[in-house]
Amino acid sequence: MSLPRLLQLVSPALPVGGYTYSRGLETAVERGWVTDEAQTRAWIAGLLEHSVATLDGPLVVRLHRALAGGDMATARRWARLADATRETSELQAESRQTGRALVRLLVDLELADPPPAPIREAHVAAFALASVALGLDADTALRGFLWTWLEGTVAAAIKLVPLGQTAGQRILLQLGPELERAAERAATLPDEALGALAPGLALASALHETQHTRLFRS
Amino acid sequence: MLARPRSEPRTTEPTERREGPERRWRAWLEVGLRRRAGRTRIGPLAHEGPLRIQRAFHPEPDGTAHVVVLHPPAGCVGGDSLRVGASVDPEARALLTTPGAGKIYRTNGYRASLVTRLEVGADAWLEHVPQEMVVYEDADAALETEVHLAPGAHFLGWEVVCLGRPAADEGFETGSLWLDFTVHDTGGPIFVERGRIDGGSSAGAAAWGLRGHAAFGTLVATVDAPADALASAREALAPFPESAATLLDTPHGALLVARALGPDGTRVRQVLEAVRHRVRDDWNRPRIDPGIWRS
Repeated sequence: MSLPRLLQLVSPALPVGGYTYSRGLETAVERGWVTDEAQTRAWIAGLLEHSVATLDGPLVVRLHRALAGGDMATARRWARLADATRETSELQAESRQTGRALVRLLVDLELADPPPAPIREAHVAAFALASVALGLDADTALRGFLWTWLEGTVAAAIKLVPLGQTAGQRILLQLGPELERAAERAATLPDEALGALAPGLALASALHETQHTRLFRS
Repeated sequence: MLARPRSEPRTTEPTERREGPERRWRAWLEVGLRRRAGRTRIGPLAHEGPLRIQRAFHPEPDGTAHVVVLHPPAGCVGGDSLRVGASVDPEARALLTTPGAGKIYRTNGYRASLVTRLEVGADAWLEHVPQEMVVYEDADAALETEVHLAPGAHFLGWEVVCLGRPAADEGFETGSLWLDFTVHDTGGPIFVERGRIDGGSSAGAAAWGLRGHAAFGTLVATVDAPADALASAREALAPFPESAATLLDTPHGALLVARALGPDGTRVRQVLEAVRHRVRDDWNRPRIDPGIWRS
């Protein structure tokens, strides 16, 4: 039963608006930092390894564990850390908006009770809550989360760089091993190593706020 | 690569050892700052090892104490542990800085750690504006700054780090930096910039990383009129292409965050100094720099 649940949770058709965010990529493209397929792959692979695998991935694992065990105090603490680690206004808004949308969906589907504020205000927490509600284990939730991030970023790159559909699929195929390594890293990272420094991403995201033409909300 | 096997022994705490060729310092300093007769003054003070503070200077009309934290050896080697704690009493006003760039030298197999813990009392003001930290090639450094804000506290702080010494043509191929800059209010963290940069990893050249720059810096400040403060900060940053400002919404109110990349620590700090002046405008306080920056 868990495969259809996983596919439902990671589907771009899930109505949380994930496809409207580029997480700084729109500015990286506009500034000429990312101009082709190879640079797109490097941007995505680098962030996967140095940010998602060391911050949001491990947060999903910890939130899943806390929520599955009914430990709301711990879940609230990780959710608050998730919010405090958003680098910019837009990244914070993205996490809060997609978190709220996903929680609202879960509540409307009667899969979960409305959780306390920090949990519905952080996307990683809402994703973990959805995973628990759908009966997915922590490892499946983590891999699903990483895939959602990867596919969403590739989809944004196809529109922005722009890349052909085949190039997008090629990146998804090529980053398979990186995705696996990120999952292993995220699952085993100790608390004291949790974090991510990506100054270029933070700059791109902040500069997006004043960018003239924008297709994406981040 | 994220995992560096040889970093494992580096993180091991050194054994207590005060003598021999690899003399290691464990120094700490704790200072309290309190308001008396219209001025903020140095209150309780305790220290051990080579960390000192000078007397407080009062260059501002509101009696703000400018305090210079001195570390006479100026640089740290592996195994050094420097801890600075400052507590600003309610309604007191202080600024902490350093007389020059800090340095963390090549490791001897142990990690050098600098830990700063700042408590800002209710309606107190604190600026934590140390000069840049230069992390030498093959250094193993941990820089941790933990700030606690009571209700109504105003705070501006920055971290400016230069990886390697560009002036000496030295890169950062084998060094390692763990950075943790965290601001809490009474309910938990409100701003966390934390992570690791390993020399030789893709982070140095990557578009999402340092973009080939040796130095980076982040300024965080509480602001009273967020939209105006952001517009003003952006204006100050306009001449610097590798910089940007944003606002974070937190339970303590809005935080202005400015970031910059640059060829060296001094240049990055100058960019953030321009933003600091704009925050001073937002605070309705004069744009006064600590005298030691110009001496």
